[in-house]
Amino acid sequence: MNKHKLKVIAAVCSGVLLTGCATMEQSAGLAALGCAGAGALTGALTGSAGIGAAAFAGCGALAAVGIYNYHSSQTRTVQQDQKLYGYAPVSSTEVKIRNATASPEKVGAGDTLKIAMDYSVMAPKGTQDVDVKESLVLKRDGKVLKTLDERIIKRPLGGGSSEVDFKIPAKLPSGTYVIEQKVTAGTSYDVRPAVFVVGS
Amino acid sequence: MMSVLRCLSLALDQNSFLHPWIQKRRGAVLLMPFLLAASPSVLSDYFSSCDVKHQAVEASLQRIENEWPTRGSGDAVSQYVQKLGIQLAHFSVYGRNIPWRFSVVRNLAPNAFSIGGGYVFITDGAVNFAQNESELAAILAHELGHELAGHFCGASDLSDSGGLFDIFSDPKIEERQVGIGSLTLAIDPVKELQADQIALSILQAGGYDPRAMLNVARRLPTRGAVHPMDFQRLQLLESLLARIPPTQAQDSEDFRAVKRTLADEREAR
Repeated sequence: MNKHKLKVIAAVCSGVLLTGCATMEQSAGLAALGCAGAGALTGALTGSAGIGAAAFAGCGALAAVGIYNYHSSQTRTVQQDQKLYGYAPVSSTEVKIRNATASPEKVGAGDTLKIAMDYSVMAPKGTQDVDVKESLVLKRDGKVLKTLDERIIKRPLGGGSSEVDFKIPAKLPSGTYVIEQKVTAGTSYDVRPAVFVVGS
Repeated sequence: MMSVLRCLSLALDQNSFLHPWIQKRRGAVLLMPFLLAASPSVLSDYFSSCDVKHQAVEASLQRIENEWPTRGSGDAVSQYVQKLGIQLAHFSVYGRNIPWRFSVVRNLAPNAFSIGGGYVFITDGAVNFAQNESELAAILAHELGHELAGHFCGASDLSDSGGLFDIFSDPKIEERQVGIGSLTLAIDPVKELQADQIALSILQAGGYDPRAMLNVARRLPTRGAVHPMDFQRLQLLESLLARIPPTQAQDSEDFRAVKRTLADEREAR
């Protein structure tokens, strides 16, 4: 088997293990095991202990990423939201993200990243509130690294905001990341990316 | 031209069991293929009399943008739908002169509609609903059909999208009001049939399987959708398709890639 093929297999196999790592939010131990496997396999197949160690470090950093300080609130009544965004009463449930940010745009190890979004919840007349699923997914180069948060909250109609804080782990590799913020209500959903850069 | 009209006339004659309103409006139904097959100058004359209320289109567009989450123009699904829509529109003479803009709405319920001015909207759910590329082409071609049939001529808003063919139809009969977001669409069965007929011509010209139109119509939800399944509509489609040879159409790689993208997104949900 030539070197190129080995590298491709290493990338694919590590990718599978890294994905496993990223989705095992409930078990840090299993996540770490997946990460160790990814690092070892990458190292073995590429013949480079350094590359394997880097894969393990990146994955380990992801396992350490967690959110805290979740805060949500209603920011606009239905009437205020309709006036601000110029829409009329609707006949079906709709959600639409108005703004999504990650600040500051550049962060270093140990820094806190604030992820915020503002969205409208619309529903037929007579509806008091709507179950909205909010989710945050960390991506890099178009690939999902980790689902950071997923929760269903009851939202009154109108405008609402959600904010969460992330502590950037020391071992998170430098580069550009995307936090994909998504809201879903009924069959309607919206997605908005927020970009941040990890650098020294 | 005359043979096409004779063929359609025969289809309607042989289906005397069709609902009386279809029989009553056979003139409108029969005229559409004529418009499609007519020379560019005839079409140009016909459509120059179409007074699309641009303010009404802009107002509807503004409301949609304020209410609905749509995929950006750089999104792969949007780009594919835009490309397919333009490709289909070019199979009609008048379609080449309309500035078509196709947008994909982030909603999992299958739906598609046009608002005039070349604006066509289709949901993620409708793309998911299409089992092959011909079916997706059929959904888009039906929406093109509304525009090409002049259904937005003179309309002051979406619920008033009357046009040339209103002279054949009684708006008091069987017209349904359907709400989408804050918009209200008037669903006129005659106009739906006209749009279907134009769609069949476009599909045939584009090398897609025209039977996809019937397959889509058969699977449409029976309630609460913009185009509820209509028994009469199915009968007429079956009659028209009986005279069209079947087409073997292959799905493009672009279509398969879009289906994979949507499946991945569903899985991530």
